[in-house]
Amino acid sequence: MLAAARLSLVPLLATVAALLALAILGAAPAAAQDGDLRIGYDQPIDSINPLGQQNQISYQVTTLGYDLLLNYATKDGSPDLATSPARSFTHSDDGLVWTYRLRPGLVWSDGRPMTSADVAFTYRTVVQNQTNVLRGYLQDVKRIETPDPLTVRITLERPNARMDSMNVAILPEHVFGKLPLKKRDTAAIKLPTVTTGPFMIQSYDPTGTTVLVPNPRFRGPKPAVKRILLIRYLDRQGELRDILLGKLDMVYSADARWLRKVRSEPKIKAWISTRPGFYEIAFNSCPSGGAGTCSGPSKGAHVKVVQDPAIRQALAWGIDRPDLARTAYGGTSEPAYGLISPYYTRYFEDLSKDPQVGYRYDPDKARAVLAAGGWNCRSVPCTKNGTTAEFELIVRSNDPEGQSAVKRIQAWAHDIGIKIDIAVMTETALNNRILATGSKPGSYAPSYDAFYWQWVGDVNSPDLNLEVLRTGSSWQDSFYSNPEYDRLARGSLRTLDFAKRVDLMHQAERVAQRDLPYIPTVFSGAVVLTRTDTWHNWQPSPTAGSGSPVTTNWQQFVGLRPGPAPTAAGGAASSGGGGGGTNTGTVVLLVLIALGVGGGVGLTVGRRRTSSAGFPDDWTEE
Amino acid sequence: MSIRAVLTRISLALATLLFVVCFNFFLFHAVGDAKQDLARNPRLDQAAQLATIKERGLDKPLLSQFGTYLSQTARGDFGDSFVSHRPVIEELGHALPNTLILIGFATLIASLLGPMVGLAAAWRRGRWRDSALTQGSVALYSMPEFWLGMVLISLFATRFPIFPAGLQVEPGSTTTGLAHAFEVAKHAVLPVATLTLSLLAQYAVVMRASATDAMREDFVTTGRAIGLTPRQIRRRHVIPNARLPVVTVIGLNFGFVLGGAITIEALFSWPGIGQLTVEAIENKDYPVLQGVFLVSATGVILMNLIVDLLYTKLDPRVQLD
Repeated sequence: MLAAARLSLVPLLATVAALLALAILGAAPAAAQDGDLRIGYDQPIDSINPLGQQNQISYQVTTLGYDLLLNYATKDGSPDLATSPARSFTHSDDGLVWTYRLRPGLVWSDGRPMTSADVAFTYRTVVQNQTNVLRGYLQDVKRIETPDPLTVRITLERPNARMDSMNVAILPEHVFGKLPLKKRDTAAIKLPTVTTGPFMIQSYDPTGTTVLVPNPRFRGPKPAVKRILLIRYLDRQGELRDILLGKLDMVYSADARWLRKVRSEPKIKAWISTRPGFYEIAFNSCPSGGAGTCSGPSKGAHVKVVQDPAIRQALAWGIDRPDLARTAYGGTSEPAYGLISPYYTRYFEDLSKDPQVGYRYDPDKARAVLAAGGWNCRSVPCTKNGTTAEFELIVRSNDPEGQSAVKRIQAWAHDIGIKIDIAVMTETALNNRILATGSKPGSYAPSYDAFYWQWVGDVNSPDLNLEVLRTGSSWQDSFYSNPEYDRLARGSLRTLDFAKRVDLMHQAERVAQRDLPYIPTVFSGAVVLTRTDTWHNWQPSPTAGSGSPVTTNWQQFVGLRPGPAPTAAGGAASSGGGGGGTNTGTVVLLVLIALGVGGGVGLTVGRRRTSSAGFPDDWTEE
Repeated sequence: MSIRAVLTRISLALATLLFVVCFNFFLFHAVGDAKQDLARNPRLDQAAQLATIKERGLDKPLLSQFGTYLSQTARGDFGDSFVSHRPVIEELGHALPNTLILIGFATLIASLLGPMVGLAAAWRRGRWRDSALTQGSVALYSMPEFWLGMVLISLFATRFPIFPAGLQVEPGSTTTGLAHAFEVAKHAVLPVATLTLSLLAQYAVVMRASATDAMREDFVTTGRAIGLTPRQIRRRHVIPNARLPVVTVIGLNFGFVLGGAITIEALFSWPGIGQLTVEAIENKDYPVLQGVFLVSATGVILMNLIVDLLYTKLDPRVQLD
């Protein structure tokens, strides 16, 4: 290979020229096709099977095709009978029998009728398949009946308030019924998907572009969007670049750090919304005698410190949450004073003004709480009966914002007399500390003092946000145990009267805020970017406060209209924007090629001239 | 080179591979605990967690799991992905060709042009061309690949939008056949160029040093004395003696680049092994990670073997026995 090589740079230049020629011949970025809605995202679509999805984006994709029995309203996530397959639902007085009446004339995208049998099939699959991710919604189901093709009757073991907000996509029995029960959550789905919603998945490529097209038999208004292109980016900067260039219409999950950059872009709108979750400092709350799945804290844990109510309350008063939201989270999050995010507009209660559990930043009060708790804070850290107010706070290595947050928390804690030692570790290492093997089979002996992490709950109700602190819950990580809290949290799930249910939730939330197994710091936020010149009529959800134009239901996409929003004068705002510059680029390229070829010729001629002039003498010893 | 020597080399390679296969299993069991990762999954209740653990065989003793792993691997079955539930071999089969497109073209171009650049610099040692090429190569060599890629994107995709900045095809493209191949080629230009420039610079630097040494040898002086032309000296004496280190580096690089293309693939959203690796790490998808690790290690071992065998052809002084 090398023996045959000529000492010339011509091949190099020729290669470069060929590549550039390739570019000129057809490499200019393609303009968006009419009717395409191009969405950039970075989290992988792990599955398009609603029974086996883990990631939020995956859920988003299937929501555009599959209906829930009761879809969520854009306004506030409540059951929306106007857009749902069910046109009505009732329950018995004791809440044990729920009856749903389907809309007549529903058809799947392949033309087969959708009936109560499909609903029953789906729910039975969720109950009977052991590994699907939707089991929690139907845990209390005793019996499912279909008295007629338009009626589904579900009998429960116990009342369950979530029967009007089950996040369970209704699946076609004639498609999924062909799969063995055990494999229904993991099996690949034949494309295009058979759906009742406005779109169906035409092609699925988790590492490239997933394409959705309109369902020709959709019962509602035809969407203006002809194709939804979900374009996977591994490099998030690529998403920013491409929306600025006009090659994307939406970035599904944008980086908060881009806000400063896009603020000056008139054709980009940033939607900053609160998510249904919270970041928290979780304390090792496992009692010495054990409770639930915890057999007692590990010996190395500083439980004397982190289980002291004065320490927790002092820290809660000593954290400046608005500052944390503004700095560590770039203004995309909201200060958290409870477990239920303002995302849940129907459930949220602002506890910040509560004198007992509001914990608004007040370092003097924090010091007073420590003093009242018997801590001597003449020097830092405070001491009490030979114990120093010092503990380890673990933060995940893949959470840069969290790392920034805990550094600020460390400084505030120091200011009131508590010393925090920060440890950064992987999620796996942290899980090993949380779920360290306990003294009884299947039990845990948590070996951490405190950690910083987050929970993100369901779209429609904050039950999960409360469930994570219930004794024995499989999601317990603080190992907090309080019968009063358990009664209230479980009671809220069993209470059908909405006002009473919300009240029980608030009571549970207050108990948790009083005991502070978690100190919530911020309600996590999300940033979505959209272009204003390609599509308009985005519908934020929830409507009140800061909503997101995506995540709740398919209506948010059906309502989209092409082009910029009409102005008050009746015309459309100027369009255009990114993606230009091809002609300039071509001219520049031609110049580059000319220079390259010229240079190549020059070098080649130079080589020949030197060779012909005789033996070069410049390779002798220097 | 005797058949026995070749067989010995192949046996050694296979033994190394066997060690890697075993190490692969214990490595991922040491760094992660799939059971505990499941426990914090808010989408799986306790019953689902237990069922999943059982389904994946994670409830069995480690040695029993190891036995299953060995027998499956021997059959070319690396298990199913924890995330996509597809067989890992399918995931690899989808990603590996894409990575090989990048690495293959980059290695081909770089291994052709890099040594030429190095030789051109060595031949003009001390002159402006040497300075320009050597300094240029060293500068390229020292640049982080992702930074070089970002510069190319900034120039040729953003400032002058000539080439696509990422992805393998235009989103929603429905092209097939030659048109599809052309589209892929168009999208591969910048990632291949980035990888090529990094490799090319490395090969140029190695070749320059090696050729400079060769040009100081007595046989070159003798060649000049007996009236050989510079071209004859280069082709007959300098290149054959200078190419061995370059061949070694190219061979080893090919194996390592399989894993090293991660940054390039991430930057250009190119769906190859790198992307698969990043996702598997993020999702703690241990079967996929094991598969990737095994493929990368096999690449390195295979290329080592090929270089070993090639040496005897390139340099008759080298004897495997």
